[in-house]
Amino acid sequence: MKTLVILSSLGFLGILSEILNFKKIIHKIAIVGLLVALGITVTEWDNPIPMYFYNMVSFDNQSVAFTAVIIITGILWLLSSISFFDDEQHIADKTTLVLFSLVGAVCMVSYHNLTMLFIGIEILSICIYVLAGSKKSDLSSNESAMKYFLMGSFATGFLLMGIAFIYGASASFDIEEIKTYMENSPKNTELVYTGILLLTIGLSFKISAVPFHFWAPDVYEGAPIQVTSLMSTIVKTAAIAAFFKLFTTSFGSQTGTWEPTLTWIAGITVIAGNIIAVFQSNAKRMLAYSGISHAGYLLLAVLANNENGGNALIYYTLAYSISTIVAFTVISSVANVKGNTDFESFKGLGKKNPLLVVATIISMLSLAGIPPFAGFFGKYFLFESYLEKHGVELIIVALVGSAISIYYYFRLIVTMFKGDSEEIITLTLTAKLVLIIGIILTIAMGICPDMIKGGW
Amino acid sequence: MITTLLLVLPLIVGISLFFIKGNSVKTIALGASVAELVLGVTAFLQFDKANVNAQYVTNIPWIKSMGINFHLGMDGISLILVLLTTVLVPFIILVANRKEYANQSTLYALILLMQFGLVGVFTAQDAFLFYIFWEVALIPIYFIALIWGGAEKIRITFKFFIYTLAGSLLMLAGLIYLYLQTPVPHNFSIQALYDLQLTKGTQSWVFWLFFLAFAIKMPVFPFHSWLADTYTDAPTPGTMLLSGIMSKMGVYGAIRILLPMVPQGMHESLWGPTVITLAVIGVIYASLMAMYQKDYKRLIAYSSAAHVGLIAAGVFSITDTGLSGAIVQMFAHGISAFGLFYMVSILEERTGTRQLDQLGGIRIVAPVYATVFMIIMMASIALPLTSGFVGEFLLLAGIYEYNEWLAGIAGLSTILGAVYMLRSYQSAILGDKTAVSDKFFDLVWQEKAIVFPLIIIIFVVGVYPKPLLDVIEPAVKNIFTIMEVTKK
Repeated sequence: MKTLVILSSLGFLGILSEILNFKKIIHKIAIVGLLVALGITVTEWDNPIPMYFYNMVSFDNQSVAFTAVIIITGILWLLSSISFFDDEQHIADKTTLVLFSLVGAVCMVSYHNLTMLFIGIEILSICIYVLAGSKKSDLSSNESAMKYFLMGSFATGFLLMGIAFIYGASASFDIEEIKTYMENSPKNTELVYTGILLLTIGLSFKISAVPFHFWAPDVYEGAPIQVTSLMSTIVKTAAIAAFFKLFTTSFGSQTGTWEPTLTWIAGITVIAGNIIAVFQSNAKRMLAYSGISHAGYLLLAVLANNENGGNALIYYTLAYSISTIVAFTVISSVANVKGNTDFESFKGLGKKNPLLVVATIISMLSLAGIPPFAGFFGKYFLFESYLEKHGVELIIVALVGSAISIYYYFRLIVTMFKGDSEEIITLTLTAKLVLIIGIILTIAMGICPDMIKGGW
Repeated sequence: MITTLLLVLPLIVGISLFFIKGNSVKTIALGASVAELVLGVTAFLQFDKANVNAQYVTNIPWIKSMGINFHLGMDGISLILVLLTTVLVPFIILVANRKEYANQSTLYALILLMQFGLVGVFTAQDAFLFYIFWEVALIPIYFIALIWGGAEKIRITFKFFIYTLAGSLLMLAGLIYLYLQTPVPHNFSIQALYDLQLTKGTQSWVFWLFFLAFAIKMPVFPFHSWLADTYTDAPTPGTMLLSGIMSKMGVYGAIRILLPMVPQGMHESLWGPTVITLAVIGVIYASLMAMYQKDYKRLIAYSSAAHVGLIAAGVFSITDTGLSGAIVQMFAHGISAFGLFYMVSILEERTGTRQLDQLGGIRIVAPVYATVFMIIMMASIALPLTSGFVGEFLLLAGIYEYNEWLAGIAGLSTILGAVYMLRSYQSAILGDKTAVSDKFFDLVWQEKAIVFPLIIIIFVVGVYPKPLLDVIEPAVKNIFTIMEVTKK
């Protein structure tokens, strides 16, 4: 709860920095503030009374863990995207938007009431809509923002309608009360059916699961690269955490209603995301599709519908976010020099850029799920939690997807060793820092997975 | 303790090498691998032959929530393969030392990390750990082949990686399935998976998951298509690691995982005859392919495939003799494959070509080289008194116990082996001088320092294989005892 307060205050500080004229250091203040917020979050662990604001939010251990994941990602993101805050004029606005998007994300992982979920999603999304369009003179950035806004508000419509239907049936917004209602109602009513379906659609939009993914590649490609990185890490983490919490708590007893649909969505997402990623010739777009396929893996946790699924999800989102931030840092460093993010631009970088190459290799291996890196254990834990209650069919689909994904992740690595370019990509100090932290975390999480997962 | 040291030493030195520049990396890498060799030999000498269980055990919890332990140990089979790894890696590093590679610290680091993965695979007593090391061993060799490979490296290494990784994913699926069958709380130790009472139906489909993973790694026909390209295109140290040690991972997996965990898959169904026939087809196919190669390195790549195919057939014969033979032969083949690839790399280095028709008359300018080559070749085609003989003999005897006809066909491979080896030797080393032969000069002392110990090993193992067999036999018997239990 304190985290939420700190983050909101930081956001307001961002606005004030414009007026009181200390906007040049607001970026540094934000990083320090997030570090403080991370420390405070840790102290909220094992909170005896996790409910706040008349049961609107609950900071139980799961929420705290997701909050920590979001803040760690946020810190790494802020470090890696200093160049995004380059222009003097909008530095305060952009920082504020990013900080408020974190507030939204924290609301989404800690809600205990569907109105709070809705508010969280809106806070997050509206900030991201603006950030996606923050390159005002760039047409594709404008297009990206517009597309994201239209599609996002469409999805919000579904979500709100779903919430309304659920309220209609259970007469409550509180997820525990809905759960009690669901467990006790002898028969599903049409209201519940429709409500769950609408919520599935709305949330699937947010995590960009197939077939609700059409906005993602264009939006990801058009938006400034750092915003893409933000979208595919923090937004995804928050959305899947919200998804998981809602479906396993409130609708945990109604698996018959949503499980078949979601199983299909997960399977198709994994396969389609991976197959389309194979055909991309642009690294940014490739990562967008790979992000779609990861949404499919994440859904396995929702389907697992147990505590282990939640733990696996926390581990996976952290591993995925770190690797993705590292990958985007590499891509944006290359884009700074070469001007675009086509695979061609990566040719021959393997010879003279040791840190860049090692970071690419490790992040790609981790995303592809190859041991001993974090991504492998993430996938493994997800599969294992899913198998506790289900058969192997979807796991086989997921494994096939993983095998396909190796192709395109390795393509980026392989491209770096093609050709004879001797070019050196200069990395900024903070980019180096992010890469090194990312490498260390990815390896450390792989060597001691219990450190993250065994804690509860 | 000694197992942990064997594992940790190459890891630490390997990682530190990434950060060291200059020529000192050669010495450091060599020093580490020699220290590793000392450890390996010590383990061999202090091994308690009477004890069939894993020795030098380290067992500490790793991922408690999943019942995964950092459980290492060596029985006789592991010991022989660890010995092979520790013997070969110093030689491979010496070979690499003779040449200048770009980014050499990375190369030596990767070689040592490869050794880390290999020792891990051979000593893991926990199935999950086994899988992790299985993949860890793949990554360094992929990059060795990718960074220092030949002209077609990108396509070839990609194929190699995808192939083997697809196989190991199947193995992972199989292991997770077995893991979930263990009593709660689930446990990944290999012993726990042995203790499962699986039905025949389950065993026969899990069998294929494991078989495919190991068959691709060995490789067994028809999963061999990555082999020739990868072996030929990889730089010499990479080829040596691949054919000398890595090809043994698949066989080891079959002995450690496939046979004892799902023996029913082999026993009372069609699968056993199918896989052993595939292995024998592979032997003959690879031998025939070797006969028609013009490129010397490629020829040896195929000959290596033929030998590993025979080892696989011996393992799948599920006889005492066949299994013991397989393990002796893994050791012997590792040594001779290293030697043969080394000989060819010297040839290529000095003459600039590996094409048989461009070579000739080498013996006239380099008698010592020609003799050494001859001895290593004899070991490879299993002449009595050389290391190759013991293993090959036991393998064929084992296959004979299984089926006379198959043994007859597999036995052809020794004849074919003699044909292609001697013929290529004749054309490349003997005969008249060609345009390139005058570029050749005889072995210098550094090279002699590599090949003479090798020759000693070849003869010692050939004349007096007892120390190896003493270690192997109890371990093989133990595998059969386990199979008796798991069969029910």
